[in-house]
Amino acid sequence: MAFQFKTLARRMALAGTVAAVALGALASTASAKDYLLTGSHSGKLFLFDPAKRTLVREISLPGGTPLGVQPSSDGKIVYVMNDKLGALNGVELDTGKPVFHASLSDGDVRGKGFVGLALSRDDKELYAVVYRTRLHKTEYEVLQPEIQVFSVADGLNAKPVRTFPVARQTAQIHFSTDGSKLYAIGANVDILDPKTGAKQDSFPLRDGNRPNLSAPDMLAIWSQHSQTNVWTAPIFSARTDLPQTDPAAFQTGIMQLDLASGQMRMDEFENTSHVIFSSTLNPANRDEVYTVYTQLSKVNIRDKTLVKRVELDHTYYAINISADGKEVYVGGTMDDIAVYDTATLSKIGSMSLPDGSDMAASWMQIVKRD
Amino acid sequence: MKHVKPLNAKAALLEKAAGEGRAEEVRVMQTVVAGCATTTDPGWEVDAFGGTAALCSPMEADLYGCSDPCWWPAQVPDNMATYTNWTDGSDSAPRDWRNLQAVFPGKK
Repeated sequence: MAFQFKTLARRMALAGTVAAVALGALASTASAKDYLLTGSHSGKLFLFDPAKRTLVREISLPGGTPLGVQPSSDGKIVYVMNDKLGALNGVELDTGKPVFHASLSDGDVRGKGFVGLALSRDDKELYAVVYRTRLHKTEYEVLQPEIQVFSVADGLNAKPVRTFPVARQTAQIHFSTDGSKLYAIGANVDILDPKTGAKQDSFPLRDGNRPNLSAPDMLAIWSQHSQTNVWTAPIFSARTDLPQTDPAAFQTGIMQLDLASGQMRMDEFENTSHVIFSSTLNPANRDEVYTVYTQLSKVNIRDKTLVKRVELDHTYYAINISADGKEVYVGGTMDDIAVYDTATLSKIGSMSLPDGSDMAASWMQIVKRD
Repeated sequence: MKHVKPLNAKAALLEKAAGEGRAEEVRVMQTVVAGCATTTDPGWEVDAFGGTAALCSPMEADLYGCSDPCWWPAQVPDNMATYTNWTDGSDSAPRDWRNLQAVFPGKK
């Protein structure tokens, strides 16, 4: 089932102490090379060379455990949502030097982020979805959630340069490839003007009306689409025309949001039988989606079929993929990243965090560096 | 319900709903305790199929991923705002879970 937004529109009218430990120099090569970047519960960032299966760099963050981890397009700066989800921090990936800090709270208004973190395509502005509560003496007052926009040039004492309201339950935010649209993914997908926050359009999820299908339930935590600029997430829907005892009564699918074209799709591919936490599209074959949880699955989303599924050593939350589409990396939860061959789904390698800490829900991003 | 008296406001609302024939509306989680469950026995929660086989394996793999952003507010301390030091020094839940202790309200 495919939707196009234009069609739809017509239809719908510190700073802290930082210890940077260089475990190896980043080799300079003629072309950009992929590195894997993730955070851990020990409050560190870890940069791996996935081709060599080696750790390249370990950086201690101001503010502790990161959830969102967003590298700049040149791979030199990394921004994180951390400090108990109450602040944004940025560090140089080469040195670990802190270069950006912003608290999400202001006076008696406590701000907390979650997984809404995005860097503008020109690397100049950092966007965060902030849930705010005014702390009165005897009560908490829930305020309108907002997107706070920061100029990264403001450094270690950054304040929002713009704020605008955003729908409650907004999870992730992502820029279109030309930077002109900001997709706010929540109960529906709102398409915002990143300068003003004005809603230009909306793609219905909760408010949708797919024949014989309930509104999809979606898990939208991890940002792991940089190889394709197609954001994907697992969706789960109920068939409204079948009794709950029917094996096909619940359906698992994949939602795709193409950040280049604006196209959005939702495709069910199996009767719900396994939990899926996150997914990524194969840059070498855009018919293939790989999904992860306690199993690794390969899905042909064009044919809407499950191609293969294998059991993993343990549950993983996050998944990413090599530029040539030959290897997928599963991470998050514990302290290891496992490497699987996309052709066979056989395990072909692994990398471990040296301090044995949990990656927990931290994002696992691809960083391209020369 | 004639011989049962509500002890709190929620129970009173349930009794009122039953009297209006709307009791079903307050039983939406009757068969499957989903997501952030209030139960801690036998486990943290149950899976989407009403069992435990599809929960994270091992359970500890899921602990910090859920507790860091307060995904399990009923079962673990709120370590985003109130008990921010709950996991300090225990960065691997599979290895360090024995260090995680019960918490108690502090003096304001």
